[in-house]
Amino acid sequence: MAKLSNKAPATKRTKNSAPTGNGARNGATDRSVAGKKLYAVRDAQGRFVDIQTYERAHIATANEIYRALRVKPETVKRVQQIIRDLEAKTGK
Amino acid sequence: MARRFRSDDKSVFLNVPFDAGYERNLIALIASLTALGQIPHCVLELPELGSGRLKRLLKHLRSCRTSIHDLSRVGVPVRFNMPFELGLACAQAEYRKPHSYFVMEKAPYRLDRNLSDLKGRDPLIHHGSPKRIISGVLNMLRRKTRNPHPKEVFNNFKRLSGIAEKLKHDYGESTIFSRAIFIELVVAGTELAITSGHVKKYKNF
Repeated sequence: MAKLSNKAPATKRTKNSAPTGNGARNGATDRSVAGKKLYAVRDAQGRFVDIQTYERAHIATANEIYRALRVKPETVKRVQQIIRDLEAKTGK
Repeated sequence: MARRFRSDDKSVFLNVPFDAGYERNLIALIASLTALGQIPHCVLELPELGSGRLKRLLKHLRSCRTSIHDLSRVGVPVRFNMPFELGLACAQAEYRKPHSYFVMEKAPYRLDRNLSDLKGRDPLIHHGSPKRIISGVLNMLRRKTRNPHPKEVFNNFKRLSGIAEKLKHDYGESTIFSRAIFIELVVAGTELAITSGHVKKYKNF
C-alpha cells in the first residue's frame, strides 16, 4: 500500500476523476505521472485516505482469496502458466 | 482505509452432485462466483483425515456465509446427501450465525412436490444449462455496483472449461471432482475474473 499523506501525490486527473461537489471524490480514476492507473480514496475534505495502483490492488485481492483457499504460490504460478498457454494456443 | 474482507464474508459453500454430467454446471458456478469476488468452497477441498465426511461438511458450512444447494439429481438410486446438507444449512441459518442459502433445481415446480417444507422459497431453475446457472447466480448474489455482465462471465466459463480439460489431462483424472483440480479451477476462475476486471479491491467504488 502506498504511503499515506495529506499532500496530493503527483497524479494526472482524468475525465472520471471529477469532484463530487462536497470536497470528496468518489471512485476517482487517477493516473500516476508514470501513467499507471491508480485507485484513490478521499475523505470528505478531499484528503487522500488511501492510494495505490490498480495492479497492486488486484494482486492484494487475489492474495486474500488464495489465502482463504490455502493455495501455495507455486499453484497460482502453474495455473497462470496454463492460462497463458491456452490463450497462446487459441490466439486470444 | 478500505475495509479488508474476511474470508467468511466471501465464502460460498457448494452442495452439488459429483457426477460427470454436472461438470459443466460446476464450472459455470465457479466462473460466476469468482466473477463476483466470492470464494467457492466444496467438501472436496478438505483432505480425508479419518474424521469422516460429516465433520468435514460441518466445518466447511460453518465457515461459509452463503451456501448454494442443487437438488436437481432426483431419480434412482435415490441420493439423500444434498437434501441432508440443505437441512444442515437451514439449521445453521436458523440457529447459528447469519447464513443464507439458495436452492437450485433443474425442473420448475418439482421442488414443491419433492420438498414441500421449502414452499414459498423460489429456487433457481437452470434446466441443466450453464448459461442459466451463470445468470441465476449473478442475480442471486448481485452486488450493489459493478456487476459483471453474464456474457462476459460466459466467456470466462468457456475459457475455464478449456483449463478444466487441461487439468484433467495433467492429473490423469476422468472428472474434475478431485481436490487439486477443484482448487486450481477456483484459482483459474479468480485469475480470469481479475484480468477481466470483475474483481476490484474497492467494491464501494
